[in-house]
Amino acid sequence: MTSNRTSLFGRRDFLRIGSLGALGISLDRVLRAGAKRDISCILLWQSGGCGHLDTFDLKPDAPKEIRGEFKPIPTNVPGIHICEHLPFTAKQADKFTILRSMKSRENNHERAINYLLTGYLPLPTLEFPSVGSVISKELGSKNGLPPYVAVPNTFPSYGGGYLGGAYNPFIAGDPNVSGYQVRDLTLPADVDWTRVGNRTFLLKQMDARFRAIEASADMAALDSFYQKAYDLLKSPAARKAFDIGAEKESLRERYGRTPVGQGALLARRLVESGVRFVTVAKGWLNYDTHGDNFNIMKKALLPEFDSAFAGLLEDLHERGMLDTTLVIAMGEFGRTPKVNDAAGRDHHSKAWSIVLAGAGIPGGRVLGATDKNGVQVTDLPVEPEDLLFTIYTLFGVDPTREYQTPVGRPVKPVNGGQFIPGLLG
Amino acid sequence: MWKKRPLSRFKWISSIALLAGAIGSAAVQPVRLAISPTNPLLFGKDSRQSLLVVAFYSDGTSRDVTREARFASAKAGVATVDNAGLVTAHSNGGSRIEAAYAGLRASTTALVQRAEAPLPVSFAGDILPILTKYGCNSGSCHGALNGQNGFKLSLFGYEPKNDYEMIVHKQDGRRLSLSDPEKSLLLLKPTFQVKHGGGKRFPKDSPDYITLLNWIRNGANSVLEQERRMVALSVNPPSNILLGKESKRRLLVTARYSDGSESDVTQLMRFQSNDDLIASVDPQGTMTGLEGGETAIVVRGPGVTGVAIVDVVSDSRPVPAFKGNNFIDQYVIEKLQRLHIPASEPANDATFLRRVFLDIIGIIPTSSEARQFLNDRDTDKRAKLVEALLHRPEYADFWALYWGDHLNNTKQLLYNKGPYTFTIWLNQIFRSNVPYDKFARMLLTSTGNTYDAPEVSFYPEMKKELDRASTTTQLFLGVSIECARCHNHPLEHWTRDDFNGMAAFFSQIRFKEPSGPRNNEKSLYLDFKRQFQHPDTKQVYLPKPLNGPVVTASDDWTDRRELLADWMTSPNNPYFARTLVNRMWRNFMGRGLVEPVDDFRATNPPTNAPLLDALAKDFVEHGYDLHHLIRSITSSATYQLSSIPIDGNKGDRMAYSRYSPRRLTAEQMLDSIVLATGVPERFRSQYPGTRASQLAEPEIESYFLDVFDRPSRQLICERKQPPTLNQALHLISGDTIQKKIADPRSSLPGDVEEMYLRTLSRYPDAEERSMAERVIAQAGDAKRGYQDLLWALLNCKEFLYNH
Repeated sequence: MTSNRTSLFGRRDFLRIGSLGALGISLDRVLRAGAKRDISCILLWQSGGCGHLDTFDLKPDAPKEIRGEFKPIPTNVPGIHICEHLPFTAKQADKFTILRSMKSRENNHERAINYLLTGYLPLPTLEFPSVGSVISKELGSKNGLPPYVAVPNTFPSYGGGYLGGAYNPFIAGDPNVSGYQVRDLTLPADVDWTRVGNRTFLLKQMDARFRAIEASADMAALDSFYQKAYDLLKSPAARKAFDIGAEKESLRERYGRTPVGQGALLARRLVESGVRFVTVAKGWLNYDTHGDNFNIMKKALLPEFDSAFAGLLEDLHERGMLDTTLVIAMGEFGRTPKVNDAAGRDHHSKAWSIVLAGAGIPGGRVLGATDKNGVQVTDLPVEPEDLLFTIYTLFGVDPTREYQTPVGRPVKPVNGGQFIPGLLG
Repeated sequence: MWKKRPLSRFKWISSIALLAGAIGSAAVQPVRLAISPTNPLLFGKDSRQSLLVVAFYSDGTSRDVTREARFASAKAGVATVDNAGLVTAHSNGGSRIEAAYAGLRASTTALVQRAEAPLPVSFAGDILPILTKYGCNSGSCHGALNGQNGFKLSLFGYEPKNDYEMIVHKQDGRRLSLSDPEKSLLLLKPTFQVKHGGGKRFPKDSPDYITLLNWIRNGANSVLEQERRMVALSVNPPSNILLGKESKRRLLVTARYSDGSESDVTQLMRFQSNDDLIASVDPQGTMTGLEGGETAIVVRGPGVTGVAIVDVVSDSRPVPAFKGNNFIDQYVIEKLQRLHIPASEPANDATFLRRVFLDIIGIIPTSSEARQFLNDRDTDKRAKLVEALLHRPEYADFWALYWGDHLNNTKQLLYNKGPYTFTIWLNQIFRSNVPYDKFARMLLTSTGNTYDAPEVSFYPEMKKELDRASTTTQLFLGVSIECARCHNHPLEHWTRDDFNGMAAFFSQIRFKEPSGPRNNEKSLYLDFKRQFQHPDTKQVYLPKPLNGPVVTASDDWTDRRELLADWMTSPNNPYFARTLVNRMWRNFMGRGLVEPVDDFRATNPPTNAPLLDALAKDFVEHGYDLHHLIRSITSSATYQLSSIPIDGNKGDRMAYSRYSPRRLTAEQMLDSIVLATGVPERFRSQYPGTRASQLAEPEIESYFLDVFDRPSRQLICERKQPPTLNQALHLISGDTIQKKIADPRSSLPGDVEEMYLRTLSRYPDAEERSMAERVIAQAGDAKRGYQDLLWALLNCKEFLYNH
């Protein structure tokens, strides 16, 4: 990637991209400025940083202290091999692209997360909005559902930043718990709609007397959110969207009865109902395997991820939703090729792998490469700015447009970057 | 002190002093005419100066009558003047210029120098302002860190040398065509004769186009070292009163240059209003009054800024003063009277009671505290209440929480026990009312093990010198210097050198792990010899505070941070005390005198500068005593005004004509709900009965607190608290309120009066009592009825908002 971070929408760059069209998607059509695309995004967040040598960029020929304990297995795409502990994912390789050349400058969790989700290195004085907030602001949702949902919960740098809390995600909770219901989306057991009516009547009376003071945009907004809340509470579509119990048992098993598995399934339901951006996070720093990396990965993390990711791709494909759903699986950095004394791997931001699928991205490919030990990127470096630039472009959101911070400073949703070359074929 | 002084040569008789008396309507006669600027200097043949003519009327009002006046010049050979009041210089000397209007006359003398020839076009002085005016070098266009499409200019033209290189020489000089000047990209692009991402900035053949064209025609030469560049701006008039909505006033801007010359640059400046709702300004520098209030118009040229204060008076009726209690009221009343904004009524006892509880200790009173206060006949009870609150244990919790928010008190930055020891330490500080300057010094000069000396938590290990400089200046000096990390600050005169000079104070800080790597205990020690080297350029910087000279230590064993603390806490330091009193003012009044509270700059003046100065001076004179400051603010009549607007002050957002209602913070809300219902909230691994305001770190799980905007504390910023859907859902059907209402411990008293006192801290009136009783009767089941009443009381705006 050249270091010249020029806008894609400049004339000169347009000539460099070259032609494509292999899969009927022309970059030209996709990237026409101002033409927003009606697609959604599901982000599987591997909190803590996922080791690339243990998942998508194995180095079987490296010395033992680097290649670790896992072996590569073939996938359903000749020439592509991934970790043996991702067998279901291996059968879906024709649907996703492995990008092996992510790199960033941040080795600290919070800073790296901020960088990857907002496209900016963190500043002490300005909070940048996350990609989910920007997307939900620019595209909104359908069917009155919240546009941006976090499953089960939010994580640092998730929110609207200077765009405001109105663009924070709706928190969905953990759909794997039995009897899952989204938080507060049903009335309390002893409160029926009649009681709601009485309460609302009383509230209106009390607020009417207070109205003389109001003159506050916030109070009016809160009132409108009460109304939206009642609508949501009454809406069968919303209830339905979050009703994971309506899914066939067999499908729930296929995704895996784990928080990430059911989270991915819920994400599919939500996207189907009109939600624009869903994050499914694996706890907080669960992938941060500084010690006992191989046991934790093979026993806990990888099986959960494998079923969830493969289940999601297969399900989206079967429902014909893959073309309109961007699926990303990533963590804030990779993990050190050299295994440490505690049989763990530490933070490594010089190179790592992420996977991308859907929204017109061809599957069955590997983009980018690292050196023989997986330490440095040797081909097609992609930094967080580039990833976000790409995501915004895929959605038809201009990555060079400006927002105004509360102090009046113009800021773009991402700090430069360019479209990942070759991503669309 | 916030900016370079404007040219003292230009005295403008402010129309402020002349506003008095009732204002009649028809047939008011002008009694005096005045021309501005007084005795303008014109340098160079064909240089020009706009004049402004203002008529003053018998009723004290004034109006810009430039377009209606007639002009004449005594010596046309020296200078001529046209119908619009534009003076053009021809030869050296002086010429008396006279304006006439409605039988009145005024005159001034235009002094022309260096008129042997036109002044040579200066790249920095004549070309760069055009690029600044049209936004070419703004942060969203070519002034962005990486420019646009390979064309990069310095932000708002603060680096003329680089800009000249970029325009004239870079990429083989493709931006200029000396052989065919009109075909230069520099002209084709902004006039949109070829595609330009920035659109059409100005038309072909406009005056600015001609200036650029002529410069190119003459070879686009520049000897930058010999050229004049702008060093200061003077805005006339510097302060204004605009009477009535839609009234207009032109601003004139004069630049002073490095060679001593001056010039009218009004047509070259970029104008911006700090509050478009109060007054707007058009690209030619004409202000329009919109809504009653005060704001500032910011004028920007390459590397220079200017400010004009404008007061808009939208109501012709003068307002009476309200009865003031202390010096604070004097300044507030003065401003309100100038703006013709009336103050609301004083707040009643119940309102004051709840307000002062929330603002000082962060929780509402109990019903018995409310009864006791409301029934107390002592005329001094309000002051006595404040005194009592200052000494309650909740006071220390509340302010430890405030400072925890501002001092990164989180496990993400202070590991493991860190937030707990730090919170205990903060609590002690406020319990013993440690003077604020001592508090700051303790933090700044801390050393040792973070668990034994918790004040070391001021220095999270992962932050480096530049970050420390940024947060220290933001927190204690109210200055957002972050922009200057990479380029000179676009709106202030801070430079990268200022930033690096502050960073150098922190160069000696080192950390070691006293008990081995697993303990996460850190110990801060000083490496006295260590210098600050910029991480990218490797240049060494010496410690230098903002606007001050480099500080040298008396010996090799001086903690540089002591020197910083000395400078900061010196009574003459213009930032330290002002920043704190502004923060405290914001806590009590809802809006700082400077907003945002960490964005003090010349182009963001306080809404009441004399008040800010007086508060700061009083604070310093009383030994930086926070209790004293709180007493002053809360005993003022201004603080005790009602929040209910009256005719004439509904739109006021900056003059404090009434108390500004705001939503309770997450902790205030939760703690008050717990108090009102009698059902405590359980926090994981905390002692039962722990209040939200006592939680040491934001990682302690609480959906309620998160959904109501508990900060993560990784940044220092004020809570925005926007309403959200999750909040509404949680209040309607969430378990926090619902469980407490249904809990048997909430011991619903079955008594409407008690319920109002517990939640709203006041007695219900007759109408409220009967409405409540009606609803309870209608519910069938009395218990459910009271639960519904309690739900409504906890959800109504009067509860959720501090008013």
